[in-house]
Amino acid sequence: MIHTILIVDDEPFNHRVLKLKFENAGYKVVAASNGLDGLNKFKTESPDVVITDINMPVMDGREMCSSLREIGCGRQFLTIVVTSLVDKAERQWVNDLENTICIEKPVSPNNLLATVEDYFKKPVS
Amino acid sequence: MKSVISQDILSDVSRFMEENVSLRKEIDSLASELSNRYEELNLIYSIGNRLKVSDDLLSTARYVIKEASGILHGHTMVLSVPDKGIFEYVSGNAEYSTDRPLDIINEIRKECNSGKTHIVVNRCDEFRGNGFTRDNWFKFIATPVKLKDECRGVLIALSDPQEKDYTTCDLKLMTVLAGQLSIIITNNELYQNLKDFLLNFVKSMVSVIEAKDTYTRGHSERVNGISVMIARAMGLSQKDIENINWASILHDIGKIGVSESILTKPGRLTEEEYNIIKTHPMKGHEILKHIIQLKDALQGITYHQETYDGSGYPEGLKGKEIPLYARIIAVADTYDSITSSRAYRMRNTHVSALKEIERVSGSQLDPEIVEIFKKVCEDHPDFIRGDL
Repeated sequence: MIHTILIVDDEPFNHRVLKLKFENAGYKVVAASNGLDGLNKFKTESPDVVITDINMPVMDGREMCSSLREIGCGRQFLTIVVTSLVDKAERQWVNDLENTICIEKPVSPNNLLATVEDYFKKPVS
Repeated sequence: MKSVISQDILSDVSRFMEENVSLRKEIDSLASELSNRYEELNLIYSIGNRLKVSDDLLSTARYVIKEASGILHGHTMVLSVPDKGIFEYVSGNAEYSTDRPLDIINEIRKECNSGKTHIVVNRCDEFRGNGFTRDNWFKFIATPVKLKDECRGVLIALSDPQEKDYTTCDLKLMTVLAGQLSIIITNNELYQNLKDFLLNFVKSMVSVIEAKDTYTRGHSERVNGISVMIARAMGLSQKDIENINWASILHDIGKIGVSESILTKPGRLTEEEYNIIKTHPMKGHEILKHIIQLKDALQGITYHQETYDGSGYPEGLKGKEIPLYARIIAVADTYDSITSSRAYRMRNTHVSALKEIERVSGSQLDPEIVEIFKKVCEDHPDFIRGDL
């Protein structure tokens, strides 16, 4: 079974890097450029993992993450929030969400992939 | 005319399509390049973080090798620093791994020792040019790991001839890693030297004190050895083991304040003399209390003469009220006293010492620690003298 990864980020080069990494590892990758776009793609693509930035135009990552729970209707998915915010208080909301982890920038694509593979409990390719 | 235009359009379209494909390829290769740079950046950051950890040299070395092998197109990485006992090896499925890796490393080390800052081999003639004669050649980068300007080891990345060439970027990464490893190893060496010097110095001072009494010569060092073994067997933390190390070597330091005639008196002590002997844990406490580095270890010295049933001294603490370090030292102390000769009696065998320790387990000694001590003895450690 092919798992789907939704990457929500307004920086195109971040998309490129992660898309390539995950596609090479055999995942289906869907990209969205802001939170609202992310919500729409979440509805149509039903991803297993959502990787999202926080600071984005139109709708930020925080707002999107809280809406995801409502749309998800109890469906299991992993959320990885990638942040460049130094202030710890700004990240507290991530800890309050279920099945959500926070990773600091700069992100190692290998680490990110390993985190996702761990989630699916299969050995790193 | 019409067909000429459509021909032009067609060739335009095909050119655009070609460009499109090549642009896509370019973007992919840029993305992959960027991805690699992210990995490198992350590795260098995390090594920086590990610089402050001086105790766990091997796990740091292992980490660096493992991560670096992922970045340098996933082949074999070796870190070898023989006099520090470091040999870390992460292997891919390359053909040369059928060769004995030690031979390869020794050959490369010889080359590095000759003062080269690095060796990069991408072609067979370069391989031969570096003095290698083996049949199957391989690509590699080797950078020396230097301690105080002296080459003490090498960091090597190896791969098959059909793999990509090693680039200046790979070389830079290897050089930075070898440099960072040098710093980590140097730090560790300095720290260990200082620690060893201090401990040996203290051991010498303790043996000066013990020299007054031929019967207790070497006692503190033996109690030290046994206490640390018990602590390890209990799975205590590194910090606890360190504290026990200090407390046990210094546990009798207060005897410096007890006159020689009492310490070495053959025959029974008077009550007054015994009361003087009983001051030695507190005297030790007084002597050492100003050394803040021994703050946590001190309780092991102060209370090593307390007994499990509360009949000991100086405070008559009972059971687990007695600090753990002191309960451990008490077992080691009891064992060594029984198996050593005294002015008033001959030394006893290991077997009768164990019997005696079992007899007083629960009254004088903590029964849990006695059990662990018995397990330690089952492995026949070198402190057992004579018959088992």
